[in-house]
Amino acid sequence: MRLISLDLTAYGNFTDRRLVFPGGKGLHVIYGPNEAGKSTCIRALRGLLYGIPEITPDDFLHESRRLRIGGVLLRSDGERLSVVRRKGRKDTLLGSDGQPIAEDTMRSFLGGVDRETFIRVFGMSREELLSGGRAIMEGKGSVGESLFAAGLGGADLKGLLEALELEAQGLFKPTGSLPKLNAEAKTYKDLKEKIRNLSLPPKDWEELEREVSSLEAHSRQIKDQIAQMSAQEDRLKRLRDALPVIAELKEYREKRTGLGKVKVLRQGFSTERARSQSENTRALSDEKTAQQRIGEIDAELENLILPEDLLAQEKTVQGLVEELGSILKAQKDLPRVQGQVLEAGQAARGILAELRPDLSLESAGVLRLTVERIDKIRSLADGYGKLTVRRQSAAERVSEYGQKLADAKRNLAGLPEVRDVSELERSVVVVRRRGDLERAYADATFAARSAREDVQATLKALLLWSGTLEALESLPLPPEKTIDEFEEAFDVVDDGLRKAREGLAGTKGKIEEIDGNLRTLKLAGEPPTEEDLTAARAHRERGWALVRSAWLDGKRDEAAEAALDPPLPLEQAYEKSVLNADGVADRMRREAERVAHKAGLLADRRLQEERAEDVSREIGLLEARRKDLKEEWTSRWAPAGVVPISPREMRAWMVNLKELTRKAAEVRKLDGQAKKIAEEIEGSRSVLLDRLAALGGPTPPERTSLDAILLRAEEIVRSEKDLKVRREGLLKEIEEAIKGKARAEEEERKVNEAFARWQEGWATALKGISEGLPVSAAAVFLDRCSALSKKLDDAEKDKGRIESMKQDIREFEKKVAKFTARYAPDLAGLPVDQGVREVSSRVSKAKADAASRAKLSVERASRKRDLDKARETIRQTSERLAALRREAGSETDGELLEAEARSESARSLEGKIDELTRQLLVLAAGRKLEEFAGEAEREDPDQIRQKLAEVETNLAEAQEEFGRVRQNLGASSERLRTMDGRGDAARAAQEAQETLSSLGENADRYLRLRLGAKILQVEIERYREKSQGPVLRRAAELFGLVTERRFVGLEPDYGAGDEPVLVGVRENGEKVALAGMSDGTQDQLYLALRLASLEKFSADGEPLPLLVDDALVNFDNDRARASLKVLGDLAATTQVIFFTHHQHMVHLAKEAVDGQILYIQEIVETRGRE
Amino acid sequence: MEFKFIAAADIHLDSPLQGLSLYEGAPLDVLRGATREALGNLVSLAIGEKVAFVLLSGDLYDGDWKDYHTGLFLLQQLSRLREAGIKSYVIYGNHDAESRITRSLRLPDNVRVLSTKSPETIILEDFGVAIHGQGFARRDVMENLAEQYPEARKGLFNIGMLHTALSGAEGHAPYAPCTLGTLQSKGYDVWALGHVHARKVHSKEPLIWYPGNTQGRHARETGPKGCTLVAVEDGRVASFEHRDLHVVRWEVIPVNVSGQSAAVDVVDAAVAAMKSESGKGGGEVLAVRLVIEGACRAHRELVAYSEKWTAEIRVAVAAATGERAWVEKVRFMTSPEADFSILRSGSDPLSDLVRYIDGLSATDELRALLAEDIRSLKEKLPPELFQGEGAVAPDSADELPKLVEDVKAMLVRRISTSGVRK
Repeated sequence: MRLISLDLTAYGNFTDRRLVFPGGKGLHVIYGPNEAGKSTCIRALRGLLYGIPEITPDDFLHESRRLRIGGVLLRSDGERLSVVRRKGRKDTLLGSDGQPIAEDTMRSFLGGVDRETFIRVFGMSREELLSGGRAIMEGKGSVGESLFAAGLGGADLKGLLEALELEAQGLFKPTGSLPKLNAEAKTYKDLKEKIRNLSLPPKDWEELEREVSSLEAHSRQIKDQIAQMSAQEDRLKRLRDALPVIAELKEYREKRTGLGKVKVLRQGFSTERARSQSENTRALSDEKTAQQRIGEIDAELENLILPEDLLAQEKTVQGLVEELGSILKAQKDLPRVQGQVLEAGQAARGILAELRPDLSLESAGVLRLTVERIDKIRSLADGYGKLTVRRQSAAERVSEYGQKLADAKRNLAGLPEVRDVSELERSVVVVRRRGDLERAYADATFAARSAREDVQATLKALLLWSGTLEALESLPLPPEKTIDEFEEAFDVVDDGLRKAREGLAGTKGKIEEIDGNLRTLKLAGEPPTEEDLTAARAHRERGWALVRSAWLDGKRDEAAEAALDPPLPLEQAYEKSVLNADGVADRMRREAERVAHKAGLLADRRLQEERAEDVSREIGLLEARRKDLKEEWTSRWAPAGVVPISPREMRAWMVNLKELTRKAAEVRKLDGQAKKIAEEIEGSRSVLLDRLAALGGPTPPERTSLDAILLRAEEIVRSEKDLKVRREGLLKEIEEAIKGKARAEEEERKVNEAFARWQEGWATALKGISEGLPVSAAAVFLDRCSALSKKLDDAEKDKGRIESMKQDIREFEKKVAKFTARYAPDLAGLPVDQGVREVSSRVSKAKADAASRAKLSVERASRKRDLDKARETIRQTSERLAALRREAGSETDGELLEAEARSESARSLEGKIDELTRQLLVLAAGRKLEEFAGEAEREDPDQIRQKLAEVETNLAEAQEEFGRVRQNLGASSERLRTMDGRGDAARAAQEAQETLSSLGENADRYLRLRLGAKILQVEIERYREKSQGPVLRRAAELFGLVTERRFVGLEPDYGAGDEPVLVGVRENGEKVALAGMSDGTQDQLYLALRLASLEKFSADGEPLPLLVDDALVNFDNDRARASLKVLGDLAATTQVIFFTHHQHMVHLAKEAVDGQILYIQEIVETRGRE
Repeated sequence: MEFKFIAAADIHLDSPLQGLSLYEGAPLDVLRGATREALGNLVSLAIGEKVAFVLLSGDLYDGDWKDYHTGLFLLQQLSRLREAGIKSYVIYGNHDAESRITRSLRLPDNVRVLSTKSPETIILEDFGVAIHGQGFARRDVMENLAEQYPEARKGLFNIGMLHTALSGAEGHAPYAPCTLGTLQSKGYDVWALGHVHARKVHSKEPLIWYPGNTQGRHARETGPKGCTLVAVEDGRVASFEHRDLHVVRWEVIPVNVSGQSAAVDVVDAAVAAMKSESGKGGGEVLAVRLVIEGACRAHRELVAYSEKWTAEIRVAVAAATGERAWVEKVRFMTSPEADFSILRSGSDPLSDLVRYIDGLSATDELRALLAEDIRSLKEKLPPELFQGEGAVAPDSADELPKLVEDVKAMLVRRISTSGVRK
């Protein structure tokens, strides 16, 4: 399929943009700068063919549902298809009439290539070439993986296989506990264990149930026993308790019999008798007391006499007493009030004299002022002060503003004009922004100097070489490899020497040791040697010859005899020689070992000496070799003028030297920096000086520092600014002073008007009273007027009071005289106050006497009642006592008491007998009393106690046993209760099932991942075997073309692990492994493989357009050109659309590709609609 | 004379539900204890319906289950029947015969376990009923027990109880085999059978049927589960009806996702199907196997990342059903909407890979590729995983094709989306 046209009707930043591909043939280069929409075009083409993805970056301009891509496609059989693609979920492919078209129609144009395959196989980008090349490299050029990946359009096989492996390992590892399956297997095992622990074996339950019922039976049995024993214990206890009761009962019965027949008096008899007697006695005493008191009262009553009429006037008398108080007071007040009237008149007269001496006291009423008038005068007087102040202040402000205005004008005239310093200020800012340049310069020069000094010092201290820093940097030094070689060579020689010398020393040591041993042997007596023996024997033979000659032949050789062993004669000498020879032989036999040792030592010594000689020779040779080596070593350093020491030290020296070299470079850099700053300072200075000069004024001296100039400039800027501010301030002051003065003058006018109005009001207010009164006296005047009015009022009021008091006194005196005349005539003639007091006291006494009489009458009645009551009681008690005596059959009171005592004894005994009988009945517990008592009496008290102790012991034991059994039963029952059919084990089993199920899922997953990885590996290998021939051959040709025949072939070879790998072949037959190729060449190798695969793919089916997205950017011009030519060739079978940002690619394409098949069009951004 | 009775079988008390991998949001608690609750439901139903008696035709619990608590729980439930004055008649099935619990359990006096030595007949005078039955004496009873059953008692309502693999019962151990003819020949009014877990009426006159088990335990025991309530009037069956007892209902639900383009839409479809299914029941918890079918664009994504999409579906279902459903498995049986790889006979590596995998199905080469991993799994994982129902058996003839399909989809998808984006 070929693309005839692509309509970007509404897509990305395009609106109604059309790209045309005439005839669908050839290489189409589409050029556009960055952002022009190249990537959008590629997405649009894919969208057209396969639909616009759900999420697209291309709907920012056109609404998602309005996106439209159109196009015309041409199939290899000549069929054409004109379609429009919209975004959506269904029916997104439309015909030119806007009606939906079946997706199958499009599919028939795509030759069975799905979206992913189209993107991978028919799309090629720079990133793909890079990562493809890298992938081949990482796979060490594995033929299989390379071919497979290139065939797929650049799949990351290595990453894919690793991901599969990683996922599988997350699920399971044959050894391990963390992966899911391992962990779950452990969980499952734990759960099985849990089920086992939670399960209740039927046997356990059966046993426990048996145990519980047996315990229950036992418990019942013990309980019965306890009941029996308790009954026995009870009986014994009752018998024991009954015995003392029976004994006591017997005793009381005997005592009662002893009392004989007794009249037992009724209950409460004695009490009744005693009460009657005491009541009788008390009543007699009461009677006497009452009679006495009645007599006394009657005597008192006779002495009391009452004035009844006066007593009836009690209220009147009380009224007179009260009135008398006020009359007495009036009499006392009268003279004081009369005095007050005189005083007030005097005072009024005084005041009037002050105010208006012209007026009399009678006509003083004119000075009683109305409230309204007082108020008017007072407010006018108050207003006067304020008005005066206002007038004054207005006048002051007028003059103040006048002064201010004059001052400001004078000051302004004294200030100079402002100069324009904005240029200077800008320059200052610019320079300031550069920072403290002079300090930076000082720092930089310091750094440079100290670095230089440092380096110089180090250089001076550097051994073996001296010279300048500059010379140092270009010193012709031998390469490090040479040092390594020499070091090794020296090491070999030195090592040999060391070993040889050690050998020599060892050998010499051994010789000394042997000599020492020999000396020791000698010290122990030189053992005879074979030579000694031979000598001794020879000596003996010589003697024997002399003896024999003398003895058998009779020949004597005097001289020889004498010489044999002088000075011994022959016989002795011979004898000695025989002894001596035997002695030597004997010693030799005896000391054979020492002899052998000595012989051995001597042989050894000889050997060591030979060895020492050999080693000495070797040392000589090595020393000669070392000398040669050293000369050669020294010669290598000659060009640098260095006399080297050992290579190892020289290596360290070289390191120092390199460090020095590095530092020297640093010094250069620091110098440069300092120089740069100096230039900047000079530039800044000249600018600032120019600006200053332009402003006029004094020029700073030649050597002034930048900082000083800056400060100076800033000072000027600041002072000019200050000046401006001051001038503006003064102008403002003048303006304000003018305005203020006008305001003050207006105020002055207004105040004068108000003052005139006030003067008029004041005259009106005082008219007729005190015309011409000064304002300051107004307050005093008003005060005095008010005081005068008050005094006049006071005098009037007091005169009225005097009259009414006199009237009251007269009336009271009349009233008193009338009363005394009637009720106390003896008092007539007494002064009124005494008379009233006497009458009052008489009434009081009469009242007291009346109260006493009433009280005595009441008491007398009460006493009379007491008397009557006592007499009645005496009668009744006497009768009762008589009746009691009769009841007891006694004549006298003495007899009565005796009868009572006998009755009491009998009653007490009978009570005790009853009580004991009751006790016995309780103990008998229902049995007949006689029977029980008989049984008890038959028992021996001591035996009862013993039996009881026995029974109690048995009972305690039984109860203890019972407690134990109940406890066991309780525990067992509790355990049985927990066996309640709970579902814990079943729940655990369910959990185990869940784990098992999860295990199953994960195991399935694991096997799929593992199988997937294995299949993929097998397939890669299979694909290699199949495609190696044709694809690799074609790839080799293409590789030759794109590398411009730097490589002529591509072959499978074998790697370190015998696996097939790719190698490039040069024209001279040299094979180059991937590692030996440059990155670019690797990319080109990938491109070759990729295009070869693509050709094969296209040959097998409907070829689709190949979209190349700036893939060749990293190639050099020659190879890019070559690659473009290859693409041009490819265009004969497969449409190639080549997108690029780079203008030079367009030129290269023009150079490389036949103009007949090359189409170039440009896209530019067309953002937005009109 | 009118009365009702209940027939049930195969309670398998405390038998765990299988195939449910735990995941977040799964209704865990309901599930653990489902068989117990189903038995409780049975007893409550009997009491509520005032039935005359309850028949249990074998397999009260799993044969290899050793926890006596299970027996005690059974006792508690049967005691509830006793308090309500309801008798129960039990024959032991193959599992009961194997169980150690059976031998130790002392049943309350309202429960009568029929002999395992020979057929036993019990006459219920009050209802005019004769119950004939014989339990399993051992697990593997291979003879035809029914043959020895006595003839029907005249004038009584005759009930046969039998734990049997009636001929033609697939998927169940062929214990105590018999034919429909043998049963019909006895002249009984009804035969209440046990052993086969699927409910099925084999004959209406006389009534011969399996009530099925009371609670499904895995994805092959689907649908409502429970017992049969039979009403008898005048010596004839007046009505019989199934009553649900299950707590968890198992279902295999097909979800058709034809035409869906995105995997998320498939999740929605699965949720919708689940909602519709849960609407059908009585609000019980569902245990569901979802089978996703149909040709769709999401196919490759689903199959390549089935684990991920299974998890997505489970989460969505849990949210949508308020954690009232357990998704046992999701089987992706989808196919590609338009299979480009079939159209293409190309020689590119992907086509080649697909062809290679297609040719690999069920071959020894495939088994060889798998062998080592299967062996190492077997060494390390519990043996139960590789045994019995639902065992992991990837190299079995049944599983291999699916395995290969999955691997193919996975590789194609992963390769397609690997490497540089252009």
